[in-house]
Amino acid sequence: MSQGKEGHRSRKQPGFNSLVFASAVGFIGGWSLVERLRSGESGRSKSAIPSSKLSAVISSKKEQRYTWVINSLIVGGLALLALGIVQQQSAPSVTFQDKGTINTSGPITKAPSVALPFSPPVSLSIPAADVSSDMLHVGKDQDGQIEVPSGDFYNFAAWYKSSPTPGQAGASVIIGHVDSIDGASVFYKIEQLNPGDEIYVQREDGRQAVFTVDAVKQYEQDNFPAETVYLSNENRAELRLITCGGAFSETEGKYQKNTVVFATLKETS
Amino acid sequence: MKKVDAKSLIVGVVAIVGIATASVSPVLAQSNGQTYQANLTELNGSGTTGTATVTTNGRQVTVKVNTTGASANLVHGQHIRIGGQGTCPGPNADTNKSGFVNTVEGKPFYGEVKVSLTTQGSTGTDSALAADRYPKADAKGNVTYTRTFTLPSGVNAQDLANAVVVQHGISKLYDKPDQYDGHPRSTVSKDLPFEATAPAACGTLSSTPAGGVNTGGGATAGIESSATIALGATALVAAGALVVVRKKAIHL
Ligand SMILES: [Cu+2]
Repeated sequence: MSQGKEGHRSRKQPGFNSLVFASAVGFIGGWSLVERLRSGESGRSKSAIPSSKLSAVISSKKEQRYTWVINSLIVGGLALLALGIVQQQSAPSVTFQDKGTINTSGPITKAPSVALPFSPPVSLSIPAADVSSDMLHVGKDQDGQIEVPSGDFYNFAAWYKSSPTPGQAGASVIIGHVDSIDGASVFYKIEQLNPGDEIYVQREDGRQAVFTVDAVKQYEQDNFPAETVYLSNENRAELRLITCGGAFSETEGKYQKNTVVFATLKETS
Repeated sequence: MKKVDAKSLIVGVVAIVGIATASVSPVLAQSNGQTYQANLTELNGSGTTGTATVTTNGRQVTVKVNTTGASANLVHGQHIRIGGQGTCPGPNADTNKSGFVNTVEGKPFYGEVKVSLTTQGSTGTDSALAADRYPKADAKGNVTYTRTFTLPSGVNAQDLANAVVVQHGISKLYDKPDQYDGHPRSTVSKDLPFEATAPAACGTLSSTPAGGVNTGGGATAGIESSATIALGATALVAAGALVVVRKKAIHL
């Protein structure tokens, strides 16, 4: 896995500037239309027919033309608005509320007898968050942070290979992008997970590890509780899913927070 | 008013900036603790895998090693090895073509014993073969080890950044599958069977990741269909404007 930074170059212009620009263009267009209609009116008044007799006829023709233009503008405008809103993907929630409690005192008796031996993950499935992905294996970048998927593999989930394998005792760490510069990515919906939701991981040894979500929490990236997230105090098989959340900083080119899903091994097959 | 000397002004500003910078830069905090983790994978078909974590606090360390699939009811020597390539040996390390990577053949990869992960007493190099002070696997083949101690002399906390954890002992290689036996002798001690010191599991220590993860491009943080929405809104505004204009044009 090469080191991924392309997700962090500044994305396309945010909505506000183009909104102002398009509005200005639209206004000028609208007014020139109005002016045309007006000049049409003055041109007609030069005809030989006495204006007093024709005023009623002209008035009704004019009215029809205006009505036609106004109706098309309303219909077209509403259609475009609807299309734009349908295409809209809601951003990762900036008003996220932590859910559940991290499992710090759960049944230690289950591990390590229930825990599985080392075997790297091959795929991940989370029906409750529409996740279905093959698994990359990543290390750390020069900054000491977990390497993120890039290029052709941008939208894959990735297991941090110095963490335990899913199902092994300890905290196994899987990361994924929340979005790219084009749209939603593999972990787009994981912040919507709730305690009790299930996570399925397939391993190279053919076994499956099933985890249950304990908690979903957000942390400032600048004040990230690395020990809590990357390590497990208990000798118990746990899983962490990490993606971005909170507000996107245009200047830093990154999200301000990380969303972390904490889960505990429920069963293996 | 007296004309301010430009030179002295510049000198003054530079001095102030210099002082401010000097007082800020040393704040680069030196971390007092670090955790390293390793995935132990099998060597020599042992079937032993597990994890190790080493948490430092100055020269004091807490080491946890948990393995499964270890030879049951037997003692397993385990060490932190430093000074090699910081990696685990692959099958190519079997230079004498015995079919096994022995302890000596692994040295170019994982280095020398620097810390002996004993259950009590010395943790130095002198305890490397202290068979009576290493953890025993339970009946299911699980080894669970936790110990807090001060690093032996000659080893610094920073050395752990390029270190490997190795656990030894595979009873199934020769003769009785549940005992360290068989004719071949250990490559590191004539007093021990090859099985007792054969490398069983190995993993490179890696510091836990720094901070969070940069997992977003930002596309869904804004309004992606802004042009479409703007065009629609503009059309509606124009329609409104026309309604007003029509009223004026018709009724004047
Ligand atoms: Cu060793």
